[in-house]
Amino acid sequence: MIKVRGLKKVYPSAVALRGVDMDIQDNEWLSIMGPSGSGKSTLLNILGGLDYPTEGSVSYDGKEITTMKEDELAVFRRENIGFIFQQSYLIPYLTALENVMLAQYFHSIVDEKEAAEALKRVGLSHRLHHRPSELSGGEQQRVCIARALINSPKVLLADEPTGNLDRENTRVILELLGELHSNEGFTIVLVTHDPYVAGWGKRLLTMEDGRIIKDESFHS
Amino acid sequence: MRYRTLFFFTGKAIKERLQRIFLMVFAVSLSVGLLISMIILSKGMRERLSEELKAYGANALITSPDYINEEIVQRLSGINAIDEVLPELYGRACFKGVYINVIGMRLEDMKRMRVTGEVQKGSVLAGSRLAKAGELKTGHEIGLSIPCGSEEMKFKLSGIFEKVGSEDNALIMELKELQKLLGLENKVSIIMLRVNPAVFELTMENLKKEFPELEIKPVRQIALSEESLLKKIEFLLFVVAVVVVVASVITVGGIMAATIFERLTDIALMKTMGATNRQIQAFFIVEAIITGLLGSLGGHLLGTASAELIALSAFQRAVAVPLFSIPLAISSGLMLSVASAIAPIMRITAYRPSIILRGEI
Amino acid sequence: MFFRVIINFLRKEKKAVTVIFFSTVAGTAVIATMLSLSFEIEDKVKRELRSFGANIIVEPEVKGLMSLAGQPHYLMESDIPRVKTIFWRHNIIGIAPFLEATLDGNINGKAYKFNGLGTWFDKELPVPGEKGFMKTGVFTVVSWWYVDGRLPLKRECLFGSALAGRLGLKIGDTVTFGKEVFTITGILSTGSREDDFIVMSLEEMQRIKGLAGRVSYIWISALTTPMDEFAYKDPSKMTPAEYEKWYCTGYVTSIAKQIEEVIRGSSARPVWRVAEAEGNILRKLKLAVYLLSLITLLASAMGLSAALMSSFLKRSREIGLMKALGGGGLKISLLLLSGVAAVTVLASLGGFLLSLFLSDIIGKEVFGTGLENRVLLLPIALLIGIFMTIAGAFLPLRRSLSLKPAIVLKGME
Repeated sequence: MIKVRGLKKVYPSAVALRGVDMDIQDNEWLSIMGPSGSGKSTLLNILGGLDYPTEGSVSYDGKEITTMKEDELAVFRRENIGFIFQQSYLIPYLTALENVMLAQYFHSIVDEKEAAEALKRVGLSHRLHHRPSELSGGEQQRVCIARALINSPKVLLADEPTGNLDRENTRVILELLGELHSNEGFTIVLVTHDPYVAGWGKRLLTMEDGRIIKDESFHS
Repeated sequence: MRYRTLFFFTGKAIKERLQRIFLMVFAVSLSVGLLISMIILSKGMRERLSEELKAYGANALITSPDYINEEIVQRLSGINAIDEVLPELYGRACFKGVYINVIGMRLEDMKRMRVTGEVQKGSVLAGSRLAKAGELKTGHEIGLSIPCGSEEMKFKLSGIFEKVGSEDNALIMELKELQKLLGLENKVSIIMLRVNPAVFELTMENLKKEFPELEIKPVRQIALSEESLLKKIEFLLFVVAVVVVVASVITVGGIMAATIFERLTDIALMKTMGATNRQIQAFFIVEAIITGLLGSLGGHLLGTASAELIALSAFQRAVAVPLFSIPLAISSGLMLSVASAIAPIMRITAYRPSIILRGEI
Repeated sequence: MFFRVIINFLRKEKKAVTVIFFSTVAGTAVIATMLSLSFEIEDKVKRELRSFGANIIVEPEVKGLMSLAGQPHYLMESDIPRVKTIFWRHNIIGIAPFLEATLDGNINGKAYKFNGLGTWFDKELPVPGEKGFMKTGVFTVVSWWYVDGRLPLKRECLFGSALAGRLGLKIGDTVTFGKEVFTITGILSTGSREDDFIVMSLEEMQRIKGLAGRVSYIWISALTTPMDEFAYKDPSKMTPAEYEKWYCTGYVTSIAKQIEEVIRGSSARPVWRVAEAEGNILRKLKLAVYLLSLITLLASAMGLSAALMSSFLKRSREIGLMKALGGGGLKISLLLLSGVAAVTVLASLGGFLLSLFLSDIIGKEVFGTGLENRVLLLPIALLIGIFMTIAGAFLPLRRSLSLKPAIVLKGME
């Protein structure tokens, strides 16, 4: 369980979070919506230990992460968290397989078979040795998913993962996420603009001006 | 295994960014090349210059209250640090009723003098002032007697020499002839030495130990000036080398910084994957090491080539490439590329990934 | 719009601008320093080589064999200032006259026959036709005389080290010449024949020998042009035009000839050993430094280009965008280059200023005087800076311009 209490983030030029409290249950699929500048991405970054809050706490199963040092955070991230971003940040000179293997390398040791298996699960078994520039946007994003999940994280943090994709590709990605979610049971926190994408979650937080203004749960 | 993977990823990074890597290797090569070329030159210049400085003449003298035995000349010639040994015998003889100075020199040494005319066995040379005063011309016959009025020995005058100094008032003849004339077989008055200026002090000390019976002293005019000139030239090259190295550190550092900063998103990405700063730094350091090694090899080649080019065109002779230049090239190349990579790596890994991914840098 | 792009570049691309700026400063500083060094190395080394002693010796002309053995001949001390009236007077950097004669001396009641030498130690010689004085004296010609003690004044003298050693004399002892008592103020070591001499001021020597205004020979140190093939021709066989050229070139022979003309009854001759060695070393060292400068120049220029190239390679995305907006290759290049050019021009100025400082340090540290000849280097530094910009930008620009904008914009260059 992730507990967020009194989270504030102040940048020199703006206030991004004005006090956020929330609990995220294990195996939950949570969507966060809100206009640009409402603080969604900042919240996600702090959740993932990519940034420190100005005030407040974030704990995973009772373990506080906001007081961790940089290197402790790095270890925490590689053990617990997978990231997907709007832009498919892939290393351009590595093949799909090698991009996945790089994440293995930081985590523990590389295992080519396992990496290939992960790409097979996202439907890219025929694209193992292609460079990012030879893949479509949807395919690139699938490589990112495979990379995010290779080390079996407890939490997947996704920041507009379909922002650059058309409807068809968006559906493919979301179906894939749903399938992996129900098979492997990790928690998903997904930030988006798109109500269609947000609708895939079981719970929806709406943010505005650094605060959560609505917290709805859906039961399907 | 971990190292193999590390090298695998770095190898990939290098292979795919050949253009950049080539730039870096090239920049390191240039710096290392300049450094090596300066080092080789400053070493070689000393030798080549001291060869040139020979022309200034002897830098040490051996005298004795009495005459010196000629066998000492042989012993001195066998010493490595002595480039030249010039024995001379001084005497006076009567010519046309006037006593003039006569100098005995070995034939091969006479041939190295500045002579108008030629040096022939059995003939004599006249100093320019003596020739002028006595209106002597090449081909004249010179009659010498000791003492005045005794039986004359005849010599052919084969040339006029110019030395500047009291020698110009004298006649020069072959050492053997003068020894016979004066009845001083196997004796010389003075021995002039050309000691390698690089080991001057040491050689002088050794000579004093080896020949305690002789007076050995430096010709300060030559010895001091030589030392000071060589030191200055060496120092000049050293200072220039320092300036060049500092300048190239700045340039290489800039290139390194530029190539590292352009991989900002790669680094942020690695961080989101849970890479520690150390792991990321390891990539870049390994890359810098490889660049440094390649650069130092290239640099050594460039440096030796340019140093030899300079030496060949300026001194018409190659200079020796000191062995230590190889480890020096490698260590300086490594230091250059690693040192110039460290600062940007440290800075870049200190950024929070969220800032980079938001595109604020 | 044009300037907005430039200003934008300077503001936004701080890192690229910093890299370009500092590598250009470093590069041009090194280049300009090496250039000023190579401009002046000849003069500096020439002066250095003068420490090997006189390269011209002026003696009385000799006539007849007896003049060598019999009565000594002398030159007139009063003629010496005329050396500073010859064509190459500014090249004369040292003058030392000597009067050499035997001295009958008496030490502790014992009579000796000494070799005596009188010379100028430190003399401000008035320059005819000019206001100033020229510093002359034995130490302007020799660098290797070492005096343990102090230089002698009136009724004082130096003893050569060998002579003093033989007689067991030390500073403060006295020697009597005729009725005059001289005090020894120092022991002179020269590593040459003066070690067996008593040395005193020229004036004192002339006085006790009764040879007022006379000198035996003069040593002269002159900065000369190295002898070349032409210089070795016999001046008496030259055509008038050749003679003129020879006379007006600072060869050691022509300077000697000019000195001979102003000092009555003299014969001035080059000290060949010194003059020729000097010419050779100078020629070779000069060439070595020129080549070294050239190589440093090339290397710095290439380093500079490499730095520029590295910062330019990064901008391919920007170029792609401009192409997408319909910019022509030339226009884009001009736009990009002018920003960089602004930086390089500033940086070359900085490099030039830095080189003034550097060459001053090098000059002072190595040769004791700073290097001059600076102003000429400013346009050279600027030219090099601009040339390097173009050279460094050419390859990456051409490469970027040949790319299809779509590929670049997709971000997978």
